Amino acid sequence: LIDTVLFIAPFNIRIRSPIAAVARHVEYFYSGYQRAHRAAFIDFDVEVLPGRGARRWWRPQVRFLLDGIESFFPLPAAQAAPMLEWGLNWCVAGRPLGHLVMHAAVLEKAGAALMMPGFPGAGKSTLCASLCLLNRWRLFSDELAILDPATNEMQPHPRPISLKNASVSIVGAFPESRLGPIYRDTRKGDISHAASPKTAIDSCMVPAPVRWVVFPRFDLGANPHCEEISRAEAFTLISEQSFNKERMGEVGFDALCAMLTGARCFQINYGSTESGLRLIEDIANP
Amino acid sequence: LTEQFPCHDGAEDRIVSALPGRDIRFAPPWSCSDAVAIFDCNSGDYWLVSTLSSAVLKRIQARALIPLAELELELSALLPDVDVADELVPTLQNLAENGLLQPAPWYAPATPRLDDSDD
Repeated sequence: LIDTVLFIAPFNIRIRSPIAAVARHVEYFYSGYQRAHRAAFIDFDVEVLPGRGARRWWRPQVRFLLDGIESFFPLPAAQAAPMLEWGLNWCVAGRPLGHLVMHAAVLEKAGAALMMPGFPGAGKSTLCASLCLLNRWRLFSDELAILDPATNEMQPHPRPISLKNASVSIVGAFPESRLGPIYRDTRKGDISHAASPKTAIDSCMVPAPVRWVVFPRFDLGANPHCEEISRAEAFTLISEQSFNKERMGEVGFDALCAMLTGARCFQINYGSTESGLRLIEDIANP
Repeated sequence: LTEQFPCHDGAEDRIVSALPGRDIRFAPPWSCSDAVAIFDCNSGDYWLVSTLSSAVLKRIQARALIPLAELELELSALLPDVDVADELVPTLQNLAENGLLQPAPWYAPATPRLDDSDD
């Protein structure tokens, strides 16, 4: 049903699947992306396939394969599209050499990038969706910060924003949001995806240096609070969120240090999307 | 090393030495913090250490072996704001415990010997 090579900056990704839900997902979220030529170097060759044997009919399952190798347990067939996104995250997080990859949302405005490293429950994805869909920040990624050691700049990797539970309805209510189906009872609860804004896809080759590193923490109803922290403290927190620092070695360490040298670092506590947005804008426009 | 530099009680015999296999890199100095991020190229491990620890590791990296008295003298000149005389040995002990320096009997924590046990 689907066999295409997408350029999802900075990678060429071949996606193959006979599953209709995967084809619909790719068509809905990736139709504006460049198609790479078949002869181009393929960074990741992925397949999303139905379960084998009796699992094709009895409680059908779906499998994710990279280079023909299945590295995960199968999931229920209804989660084929989320499995594609999770699988792509796994590919980008752990496989590439040449970039330091960290778990963080990244957005850009006026040539300067904001990095928001992610801890579970921090509200990173909701804040990221709010910044790009309400406040016109350019989306680099809601999950994966890709730092280029050659330039010490963040590389955009725009993909659908992954939303969980309460954030689905919050982001779904934004005027410019375009959400896909809601997938119930996944291992992360109810999830959905919000499409990347067109500007993010069109300018996916325009990197930016990090100027602000913000560690968000969402506490429903909490008073907004912002505190500047040292680069050394930020270094410790970020290095915990790096997927491939061991593989990147000294090059990755130097890149992370250089990135922090050019950035100011903050921790914010916020109790609502509005107050989180206000804190971020205050940091970026002191 | 033990044969070459036997550890007696005399301070003049105390040698601080690098842990073989470490190849440490240092983050640039950041004015916003006293701590220094360091990285071991061989293991891929990161640490955040004090200014004194960082200075010790830099000296050890340059010399591999250094007498304690000489190290103390150099660091006192380098870090006038730090009470090197008081802080150096606990810092060495801490670095050894974290696998960043070769342990030495004179700064390792006292370990109860089995034959001293009441059992």
